[in-house]
Amino acid sequence: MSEVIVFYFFAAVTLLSGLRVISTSNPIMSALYLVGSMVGISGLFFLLNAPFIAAVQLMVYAGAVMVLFLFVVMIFDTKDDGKKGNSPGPLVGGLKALSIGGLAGIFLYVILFKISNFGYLSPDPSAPQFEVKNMAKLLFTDYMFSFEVLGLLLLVIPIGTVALSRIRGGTHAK
Amino acid sequence: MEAIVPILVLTLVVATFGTLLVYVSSLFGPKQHYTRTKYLPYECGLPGQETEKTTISVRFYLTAILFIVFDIEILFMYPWALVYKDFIAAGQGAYIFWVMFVFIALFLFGLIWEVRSKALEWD
Amino acid sequence: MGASGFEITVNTVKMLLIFLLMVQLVPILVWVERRGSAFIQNRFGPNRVGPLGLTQLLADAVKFLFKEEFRPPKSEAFLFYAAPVLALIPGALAFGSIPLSAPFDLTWGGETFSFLFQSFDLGIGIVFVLAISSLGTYALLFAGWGSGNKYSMMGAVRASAQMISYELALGLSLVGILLIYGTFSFSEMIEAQKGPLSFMLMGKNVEIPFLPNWGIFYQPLGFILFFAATFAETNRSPFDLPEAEAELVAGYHTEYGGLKMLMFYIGEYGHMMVASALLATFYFGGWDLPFGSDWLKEAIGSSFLYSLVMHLVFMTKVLLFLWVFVWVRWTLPRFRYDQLMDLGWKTMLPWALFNTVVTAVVVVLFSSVGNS
Repeated sequence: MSEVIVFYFFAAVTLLSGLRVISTSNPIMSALYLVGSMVGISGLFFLLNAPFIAAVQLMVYAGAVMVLFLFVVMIFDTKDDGKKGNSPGPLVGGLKALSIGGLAGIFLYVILFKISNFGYLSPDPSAPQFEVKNMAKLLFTDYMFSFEVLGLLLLVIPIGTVALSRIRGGTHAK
Repeated sequence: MEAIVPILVLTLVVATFGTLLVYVSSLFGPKQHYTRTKYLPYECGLPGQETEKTTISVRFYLTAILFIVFDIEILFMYPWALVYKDFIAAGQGAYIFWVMFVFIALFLFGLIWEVRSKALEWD
Repeated sequence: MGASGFEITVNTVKMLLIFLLMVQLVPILVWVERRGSAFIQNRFGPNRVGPLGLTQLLADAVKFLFKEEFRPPKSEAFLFYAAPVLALIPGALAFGSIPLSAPFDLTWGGETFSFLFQSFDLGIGIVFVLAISSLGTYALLFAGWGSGNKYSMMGAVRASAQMISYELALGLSLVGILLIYGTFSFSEMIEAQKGPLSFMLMGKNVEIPFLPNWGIFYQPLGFILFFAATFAETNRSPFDLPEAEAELVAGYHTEYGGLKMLMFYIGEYGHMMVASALLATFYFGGWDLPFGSDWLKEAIGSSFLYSLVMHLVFMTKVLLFLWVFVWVRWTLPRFRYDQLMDLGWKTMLPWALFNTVVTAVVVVLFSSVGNS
């Protein structure tokens, strides 16, 4: 019973934070609501009996990626837009209404007609309680090649960053 | 997981405690007198030197990106360390070591490349 | 939190008590710091208020309570007020997940319940603490940005860049411990550190009877790296450039006064306590007393009293490390910012990698020779 309440709490946090990301006009608050959304997703991972993934989500997304976003927003000192802006003409306004309505319609259709088991999905009771060891064993046996390729990808990222930002001559430093 | 409820409760308790402290401290004490000097941001007592443009070096940005990359690599070592002894017990010790050794070699290569390209130099 | 009402009550009370323990240790720590620093600097510390100056911080807290409530007008109100509260949360959550003593049993209404001496128990002990610590950078950024002062902002960005750099070294130095103990959970690590020092060497089981089976004998380099990294993580000297007075005034908490400033200090000391508790758990056996725990357990019949005694043992170790924190602060000069970042990236990361590889090699060689 308590799990259902906690699930709805985290789901509400995630969805409402996500909504506020795009509806607020202050860029810093937008980034902070995104952090709230990440924390909500981490809580949902917790409830799915994946505590390691939940912690990794917190550490990487909420702790590293969002810090990077906040650095950028704070460094460039973007100001609050306020609610003013260009008022859209009828064509743009109509397209906006159509797209949002269409999306909402798709969601409603799926929820009302396609999902038969509507409720809190509890995790598979036969799954092991502590999933890290199984995941690790799979990762290092079946998916070993993907793992090494991931290492290569993580090597390319710093090289690309230095090349793009051209700090001290970038990749052609003395 | 049943540990999530104590975590949430503890977060709520700590947040309430903090908010209470902030609120109580605003009740006591003199009210804010708005003098003009108090309005200015603090600059070691010298007035009005703040310009609107503040430039922060782009090196902070680079540090944050490198942190993401290396943090992910370190997080891959955690499950590896967990199953290390299991692999050894199953006779696959050398295999699991070399798998991660290649990964660590890529990590180290990236780090050495960063250092040598002087991207991490702070002046 | 337990099924029956009794369990829930005891767990709630326990959680509150552990949080209050953390908060109440802060005045004692401040007293230790002020008297200890005075002792190191060959002067008296506070010795007028109360016996030996012990109630000095109580007087300070009352003074802070009556300070003017000030908010700089160019600041962002929500962030400005949320930052001190946010500074408390990671320390409290991390402190709650570390076992402070042995589990104990209580009987009520004929049933015996077993309780752990921690606020909550997660299977992923270490990783949770690291994840929550990485959320600590937000308190700094909120404080810096929310003050509306460009010097605070610069101080906050520098402080958070320092924190994230040393989180890498922190995480990497722990991989060695994980290789040896093979578990994330703190309780299992403490279990594995009981008894005398024993390991497999060339197929024989070597046991050294006069040394305890502590982690520091298995990971000396890891201990040094972790120890140095926690100094930087808690923004503590010699890495306290973001708070240095000659640099950016008080860094990211320049515009804070009164009780809000005190809350930043509670957060900093809370992080120090978590760091000391982690050091004690990983490298020094946690709440276990090396050669006394077995006969103590039989001598003290009740598991609850045994738990309390072991808690005293744990707190002794933690206080020892806290004293080392204070000692180092007043002994070493401060690092310059570029020296600090160089140390984190160019020295500690490679050494931590080296530590990992060597530990992995040693574990493979010793175990496989022993098993085959």
